[in-house]
Amino acid sequence: MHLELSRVFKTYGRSRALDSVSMSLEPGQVVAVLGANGAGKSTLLRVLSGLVKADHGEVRYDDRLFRHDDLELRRRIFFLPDFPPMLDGVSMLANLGVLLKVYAADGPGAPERLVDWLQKLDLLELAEKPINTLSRGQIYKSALAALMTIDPELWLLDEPLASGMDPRGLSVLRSEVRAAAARGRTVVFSTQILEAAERLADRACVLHRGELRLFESIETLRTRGGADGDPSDPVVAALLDQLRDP
Amino acid sequence: MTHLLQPGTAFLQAARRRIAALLGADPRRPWIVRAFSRVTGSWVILAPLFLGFLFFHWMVAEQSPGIRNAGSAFFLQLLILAFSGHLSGARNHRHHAACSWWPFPEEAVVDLLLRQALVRGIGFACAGAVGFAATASVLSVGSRPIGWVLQGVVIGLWVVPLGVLFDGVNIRWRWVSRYQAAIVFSGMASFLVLRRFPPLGLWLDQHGDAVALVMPSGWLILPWADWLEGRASIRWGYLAPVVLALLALPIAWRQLRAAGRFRERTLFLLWGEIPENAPQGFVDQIHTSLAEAQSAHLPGPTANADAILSRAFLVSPLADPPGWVQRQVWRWWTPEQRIAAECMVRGWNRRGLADGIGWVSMACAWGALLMFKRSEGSQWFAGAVVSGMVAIITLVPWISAFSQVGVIRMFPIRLQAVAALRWKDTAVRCLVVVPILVLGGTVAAGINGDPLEVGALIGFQVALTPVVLSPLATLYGLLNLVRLRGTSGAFLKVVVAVVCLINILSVLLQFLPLLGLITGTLCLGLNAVILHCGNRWFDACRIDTEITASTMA
Repeated sequence: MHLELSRVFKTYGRSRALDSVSMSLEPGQVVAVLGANGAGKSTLLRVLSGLVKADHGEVRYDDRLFRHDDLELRRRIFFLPDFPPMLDGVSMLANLGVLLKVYAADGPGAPERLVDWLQKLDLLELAEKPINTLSRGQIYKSALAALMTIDPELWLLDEPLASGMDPRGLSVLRSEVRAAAARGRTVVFSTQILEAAERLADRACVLHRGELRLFESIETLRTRGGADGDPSDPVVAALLDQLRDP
Repeated sequence: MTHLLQPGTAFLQAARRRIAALLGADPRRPWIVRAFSRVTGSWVILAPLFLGFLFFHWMVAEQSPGIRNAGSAFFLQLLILAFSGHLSGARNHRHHAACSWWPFPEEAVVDLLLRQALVRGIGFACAGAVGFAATASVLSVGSRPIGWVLQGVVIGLWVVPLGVLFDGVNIRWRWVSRYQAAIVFSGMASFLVLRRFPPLGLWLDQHGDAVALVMPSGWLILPWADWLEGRASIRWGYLAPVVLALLALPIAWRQLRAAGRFRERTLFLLWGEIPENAPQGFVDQIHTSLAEAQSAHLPGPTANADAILSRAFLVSPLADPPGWVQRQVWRWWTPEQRIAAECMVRGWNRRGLADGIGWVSMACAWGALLMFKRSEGSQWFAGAVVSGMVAIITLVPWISAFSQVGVIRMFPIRLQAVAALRWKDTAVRCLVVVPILVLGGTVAAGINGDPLEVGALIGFQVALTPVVLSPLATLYGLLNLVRLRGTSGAFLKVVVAVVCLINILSVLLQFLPLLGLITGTLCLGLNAVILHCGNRWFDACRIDTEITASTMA
C-alpha cells in the first residue's frame, strides 16, 4: 500500500502535535518513528489510522484520499495502540472473533491461522479466559495475534517494544514484521529504543515537537545522526545521542 | 455564541471556587471532585425545577389530603434518589482513591464525599425552594398561593438532611439505591391501584397518611401536614427516627472507612461484621477458591484449538435469539450493525429482562394512574410522567452500553451504525407493545366511562415516548464518552440544548391529546434527522480520546 502524507497539521488546544508533516511510504517498508515523549509519534499513527482527523493536510493511500468513514480502506489498516482496546468481560477468543469479523477477515483459513499464532505466542491455553483477567502483555499479544491473522496491508504499532510482552512475544513480533515486509506489507511502529529501530526498520522518521526532522533510511541515520556522524541537525543529533545512551 | 455564555460561565466558575473553598484545602480533593462538579451543578439547578413542575401540577389537582401527603412522601423519595444518584460515580472513584497504590487515606476520601454531599445539598435546597415556590405559586393562582409557596419552600429545604443521610447510607451500601428505587416504584403503583377501588379508595382517603409512613420521607411530611392544617399532632414523634438516623451517620462512616479496605464488602455486610475484624486468612481463602473455580472450568489448549477450528467463536452470541421480538430486531439489523451490537450488547437476557421490567412497570403504573385519575388533566399528566419513567428505564441499559463506544471507535465501524441499531431495537419493541397499550388504554377508559379514543391515544403516546427519546439517549452516550477535544464546546452545548429542549417539549405537550401526538411524531422525525446528521459529523471529525487503562482492564 502506497502511503502519502502532505503537510499534515494537528493541534490539541494550544499544543501542536504535528506540524506540516509530509512523507511518502512504499509497500514493503518498515518505518520506525522515533522521538521524545510528546514529539507526536502516537498522533502520527492515529492520523494514519484515521482515529484522529488532521486539522489540515491530506493522507492518501494508493492515491485515494483517506476519510474516516471509508470503511473499505480502514479495513486494510490495523492500528495497535500500546493499550489495545478490548471488550471487557468477554473471553479473549470472543474478542478475537469480533476483530476478525470487523475486519472481514473471518473467511476460510482464518481459524487455522489464528490457532497457529496463538500457539506461537503461547496464548492458546488462555483463549477462553475473560480478557480482563489477563495481564497487559497477554492482552497485547492477543491483539497482535488478531493483527497477524488479519494480515492487513498497513500495520501501525504504537510502542510495541514497550508493551509488556515477554521475550517470546517480542521475538515473534520481530520475525513477523520482517516477514510481513517481505510480503509487501507496510509496517510503521513507534519506539524509543534506537537499537531496536536500527535492527528492525528500513527507514527512520524522527519527530521533534511535531516537526518531521529526519526521514531517511537506517543507513543514513547511522551516518548522519549522533556524535559520530555529521551533525547537520543538532536537534536530531542530540535526540539520537539521548536514545543511544539514555 | 461564546461571549453570550461568558457571564454564566464566570458565575459557575465563581460558584465552583466557593464550593471548593468550603470543601477544604486538602490537596487530594480535586482528584474526585473535579470530575463531578459540572454534573452536580446541572443537577442542582435543573432537577428540582423540572421535578417540581411535574409534581406540583399533580399536587394542585389532587383533592384528598391523605393522597397528597402520601404523594409528597413519594416525591421526596424521588428527589432524594435524584440527589444521590450522581454520587455513585464518586463512590467508584473512591475505591481507586483509597486503593493501595495511591497514598490516600480512606477516611479523607469519605470525609470529602460527605462534605460534597452536604454542600451539594445546600445548593439543591436553595434551588429547590425557589423553584418549587415559584412553580407552586404559578399553578395555584387564585386558590391558596401562600400555602402552596410554603409547601414548595419546605419540600425544597427538607431535601438537605434527608439527602445527606441517604448519601451517607448510599456511600456505605451501594445496593441501597437500587432497592430504594424498586420500593418507591412498586409502592407508588400499588398505592395508586388501591386508590381506585371504592372500599379501599375510601380507606386510603382516610388513611393516606399511614401509607405515607411506609416511606421514610413521610416521617417528615406528616408533621408538616399537621402544622399546615393548624392542628395539634403527636406525629412530631415521627421525626425521632430521622434524628436517630442522622446520629447513626458517624457509625456508618466508621464502618465505611473499615470496609474500604476490602473488596468483598457485601459478604461482610451479610455477616453484619465490621470488616477490620475479619480474619485475613478467610479473605485469602475466598480469593484462592474463586481462582480455582475459575481455572477449573477453563478448557485446555487442545480443546481451545478444536473450538477455534470449529468456527464457533465466529458465530455471534446474539444470533438466532430465542425471543420473537429479538428475532425481528436481529433481522432488521444490517451486518455492520450486528457486529456493533456484538460489541455493545452482552447477550439478550440481561437487557431483555431490563426492558421487560420497564414495559411491565409502565403498563402497571400507567394503568393504575389511568384508573385513579381525578380529572382529564391529571390523566394526561399521569400518562406523560409514566412515559418519561418508562423511557428512562428502557433506555438506561443502552446508555450504559455506550461505555463500549470507546472501544468501537477503534474499529472500522461507523458510529451511525451504533446509533441506528439502538434506534431500530427500540422501534421494534415499541411497535410490539403498541397494540397492548392501546387496548389497555381503551379498556381503562371504558371502565372510567371516558371516550374510548382518549384511552387509545394515551396508550399510543406512552408507547411512542421511548422511540422519541431514544436518539437523546444515543446522543447522550456519544457526547458523554467522546470528549470533543479540539472542537467548539459552545457549538456542542447548543446542539445538546436543542435536542434536550425538543424532547422535553415532546413530553410536556403530551398533556394535550391530539397536539401531543402530532408533536411526538414530529419530534420523532426531528430526532432522527439530528441523530443522522450528528453521527455523520462524529464519523467525519473523529474525536481523539485516549483509551485508558481502565478501558482495557
